[in-house]
Amino acid sequence: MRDREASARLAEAARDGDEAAFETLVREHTPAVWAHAMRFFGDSSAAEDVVQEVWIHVYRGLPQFQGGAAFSTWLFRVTRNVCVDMLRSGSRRPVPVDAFERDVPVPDESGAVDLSASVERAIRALAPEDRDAFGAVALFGLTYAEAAESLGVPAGTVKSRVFRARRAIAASLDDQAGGA
Amino acid sequence: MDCIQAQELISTALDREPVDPQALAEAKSHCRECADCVRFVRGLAALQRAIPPEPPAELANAAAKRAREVVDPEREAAAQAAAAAAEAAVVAEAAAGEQPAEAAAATAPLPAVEITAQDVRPKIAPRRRTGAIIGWAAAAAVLVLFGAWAAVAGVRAIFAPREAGAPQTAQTERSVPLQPGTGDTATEGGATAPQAQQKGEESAGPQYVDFDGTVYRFQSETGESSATAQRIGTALTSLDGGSAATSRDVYGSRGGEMILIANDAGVMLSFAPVTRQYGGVTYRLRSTAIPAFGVWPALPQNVAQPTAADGSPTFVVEADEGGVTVYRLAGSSAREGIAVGPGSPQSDPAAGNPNWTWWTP
Repeated sequence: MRDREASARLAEAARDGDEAAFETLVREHTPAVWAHAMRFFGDSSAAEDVVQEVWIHVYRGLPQFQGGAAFSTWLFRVTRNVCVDMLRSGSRRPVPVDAFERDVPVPDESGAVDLSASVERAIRALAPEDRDAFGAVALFGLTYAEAAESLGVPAGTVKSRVFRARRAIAASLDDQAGGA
Repeated sequence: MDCIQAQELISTALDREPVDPQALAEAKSHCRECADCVRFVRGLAALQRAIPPEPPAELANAAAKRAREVVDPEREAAAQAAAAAAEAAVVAEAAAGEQPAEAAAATAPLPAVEITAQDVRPKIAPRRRTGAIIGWAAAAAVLVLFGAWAAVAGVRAIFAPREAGAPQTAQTERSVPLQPGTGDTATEGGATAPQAQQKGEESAGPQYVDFDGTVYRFQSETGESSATAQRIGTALTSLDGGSAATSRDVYGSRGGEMILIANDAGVMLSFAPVTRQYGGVTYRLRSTAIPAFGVWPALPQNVAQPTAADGSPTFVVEADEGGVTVYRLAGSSAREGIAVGPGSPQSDPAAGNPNWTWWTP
């Protein structure tokens, strides 16, 4: 993902009609949207739908994008809303964590496959509020203050949730590695 | 420094949030010696090495293309609609501009078209504007003739606002709730008048009052008497669209949820709460003060105004209900309240309201 200023400039250019800027924006940020959706639904088909829907929302909302605002904050909020909307509408349902293991596309790198699958499984097992906070900060690069604004909770709560998520993931990885 | 403090400090530093360097050094030192913390740090290192799930290679390009396919036609349609509205505004402007002063004064209760025309005037291409003026010159002439006739015949009185402080007769008092959107509302509605004018006839203004922050809509006159009804509080309302608001006693109705307010003539008017159904629960409309009929409910003081059309940062989408998007406060549940944005369809209880509205169970 690009740095924040670069993303904001791209978003402003896209808002002003620069199609190439919009395509770059989509390419740069789709991995975060996809990862969030995969962790939410555990299903690549649902994640594809989320990605499509998120960029439709973003493209539609670009004329209202405030120059200088953090694009990632907006993108996270849209992504989260789209996931929740799909869940509430019943059009998509999260798959159980066990089944998720079969549907996690990970890079074919030696040693990375098992680790990534374990991490994704641990993330999916988190409490939704912890997963949201962790995703906002670790995937979308939001500060605690920005995540707090998006999630509607104090920054201290974001900090606690992210920490709780990391502890749970670390413990899960340690358990699977045969640690005490 | 205990384990939790040390681990939380390291987690915070990983997120590039500011931490005290000395405390961080202490935390690292602790984590090198403590077995539990060593496992935590080992887990963090593994987490850092892990690669998040990656999307299919062509997904991003396909998503960008799809977004344009969906949204571009929407924008074109919106631009066409705006152009059509602008053209209509120019027509009205041309008609109004041709009137002599006397005739213009006689038709004073129709200023909404002037406001609209000024708003959109810069968007009109000169060639189109000239054509519209020529094409509708006849309409302008008709208006001029009507205005002159109205001035002579004294029709002006029909449109003239009631003088502030003029005593209300029983007849006028009763007639106000039964005739929403009269000249009174359009000309004396204070800050709400332009909204009503711009929104047109259907948005001339609801007959709302607020009581303890809950919005009630006028229902009918009742035969009840204040002597027998139970007083439950006061409401600040003019009970019309124009005169100054006064504090009026509110009575509970025998039926339950309705409230009763006596007008200046002593006639008891009944009002029912404005509600909507969501998730099998009845939500009531809440608002800031509504001192007169025609004032649209707005978000209560304790609910922040969103800064973006998608409700952010105050709201997040809760659900789509029959074409109406329902929002909740970010970080809260719908049980605490739901919001509806401007522009809801005619069938919705918030239809016509240019403001965000707030509803609680």
